[in-house]
Amino acid sequence: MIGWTLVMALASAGEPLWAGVPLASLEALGIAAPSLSHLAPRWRAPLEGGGVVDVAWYPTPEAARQAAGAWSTMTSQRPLPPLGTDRWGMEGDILLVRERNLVLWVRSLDGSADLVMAGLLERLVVEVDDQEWQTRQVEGLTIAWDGCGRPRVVGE
Amino acid sequence: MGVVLSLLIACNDGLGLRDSSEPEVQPAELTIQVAPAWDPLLESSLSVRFTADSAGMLDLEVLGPSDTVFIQQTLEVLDDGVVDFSLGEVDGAIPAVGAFSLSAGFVRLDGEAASAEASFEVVRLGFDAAWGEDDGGSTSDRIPLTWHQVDQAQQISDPFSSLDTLDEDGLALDFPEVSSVLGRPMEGFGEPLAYTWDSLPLVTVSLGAAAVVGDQALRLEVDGWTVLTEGFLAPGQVVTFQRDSPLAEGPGLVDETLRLGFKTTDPAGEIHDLGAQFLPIRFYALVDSPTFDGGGEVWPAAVQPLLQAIGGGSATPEDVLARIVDWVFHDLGLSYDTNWGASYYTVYLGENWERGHFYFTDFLERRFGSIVNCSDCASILVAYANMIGVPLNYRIIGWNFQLNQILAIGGDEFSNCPFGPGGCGFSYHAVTGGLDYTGIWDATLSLDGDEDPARLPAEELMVQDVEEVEYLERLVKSGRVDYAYESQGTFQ
Repeated sequence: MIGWTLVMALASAGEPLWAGVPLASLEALGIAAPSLSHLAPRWRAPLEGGGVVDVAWYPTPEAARQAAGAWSTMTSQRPLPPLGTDRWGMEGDILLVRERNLVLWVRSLDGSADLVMAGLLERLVVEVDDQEWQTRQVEGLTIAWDGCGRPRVVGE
Repeated sequence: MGVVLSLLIACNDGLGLRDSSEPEVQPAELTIQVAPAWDPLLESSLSVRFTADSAGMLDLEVLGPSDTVFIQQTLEVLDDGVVDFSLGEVDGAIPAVGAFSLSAGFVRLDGEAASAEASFEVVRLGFDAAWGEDDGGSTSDRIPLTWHQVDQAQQISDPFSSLDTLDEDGLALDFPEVSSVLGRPMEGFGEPLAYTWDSLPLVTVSLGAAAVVGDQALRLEVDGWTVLTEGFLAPGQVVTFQRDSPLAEGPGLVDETLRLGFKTTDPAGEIHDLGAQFLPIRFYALVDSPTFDGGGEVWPAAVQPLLQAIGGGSATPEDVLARIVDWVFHDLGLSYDTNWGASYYTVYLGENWERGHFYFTDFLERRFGSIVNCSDCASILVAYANMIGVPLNYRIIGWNFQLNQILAIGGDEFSNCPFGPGGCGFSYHAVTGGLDYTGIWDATLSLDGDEDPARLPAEELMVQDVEEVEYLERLVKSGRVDYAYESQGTFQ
């Protein structure tokens, strides 16, 4: 895993990279505990009103931009219509947003996709205090996730 | 009741000579039949049969260890001369382990007398641990399970069921029930065992160190199983036995409660049943070891409901896959996202169609609900099939095509516009098959199987080994499509 400090330095030419959405803030948005992946800096969580949220971290805004374009056809069998620059979907129902180096996706079953997305975007941070939000063994490795859900190997 | 274990002592009237004019008096006779061993916690009473030659009265005395009097009793003997006596608790006291002697004096109505003696041992029997074993696959192939919630694999060297004590509050203990919690091991419960479906499972049990067998030549018998270990039982000793017949004729769930019967043979060669301890076992009969790339795990929480649902059929991959499709399509309560066809449980890592990643743990708990799309259904089939040993890949069909009539999972009407008017196509579709298969399995939708799949009415064709070209022809109304990617993906 690339060190976050190095990544921040690489991105220093423009706006700082987002670390992500603090996992501690999800409950207030009606988002239940996220499922953290050890394979990618990405988490997925259920919406209390029905539906799902996915947030993925990329090392550069350009990587996120390319990923978001792919997401618009890979996350649903019905292609998402563009809503503007770096934004796809249908208000209330399903939203895909690229924000700097992040891709955020909300599929709501109760019409709250735009509210949830707005809440996520409001809570973005460039640094996260909690470097070990969760630590556990996965396939023989000790993985620690930081407070934005990004994994790194901390032991074997 | 078996052999006569008695000393027969016939007595006359003690006068020595008789008047030759009187009819000759036959001496009284008495025999005792009793098993040589008794575990009062397995069998609450010990049957004793006294056989006299006629009616009379019988004085019975049973002495326990150190010649303590366990019971003294007088019994009436009727004309048939037989008295069946049941030796059990006395004043709530369970007989202590050790040697017991039984003596009886019989006085016939004419005053003739006889006596007899016998002995038996009170023993304490019970196994305290059971292991599921195999022989490397020649007749038995065990596949360790993984408790997915704690990422912990079963160790074959660990017992799948055990007891801390052989008895409690004066009651012999059977092995515990198999746990109904499937995500993690539960202390105090048995664990399920997975074997390939045609295995003859091997089970080893150990007689508890606290068992007392005395001088008895004890053996284990298990109905439907063959005991492989020679010799007699001793505390701490292990005994291995093997099922006489294969677990099943294909994948499925097999629940058995084994009767671990204790037997002893008396000096005359008669076999006595001393009771039994019961061992519940839940077998998962799998097609084979998991067929995930690089090995993989078998989760009880996943395979138990699956095997329960698909049991009873053959083990051929095509048949098994057909039953899995039927189960997913009809019985899991899933329905298609008719607004967007969005993926709830599957992502493509790195935006790579060959890196499908399935949130299987979340799916088992339905954390993201019961609405799904094709990627989810393909992931579900791939995960379940490979977990029970049926190789299967997902395949991505692309791109942007219009649909013929389909019946989406959870739906009740055929339509070629699953998203409503204006939503009559897919940007992609995920199915399963690949490898050496020529067919497609799809739990997302049923096809229209009639001659005109573009129009109603429709004739439902479940996608269970539908030849791959035919599948595209029936699915796609217009657009250039083909199978673009194939992979197994990953899951968590």
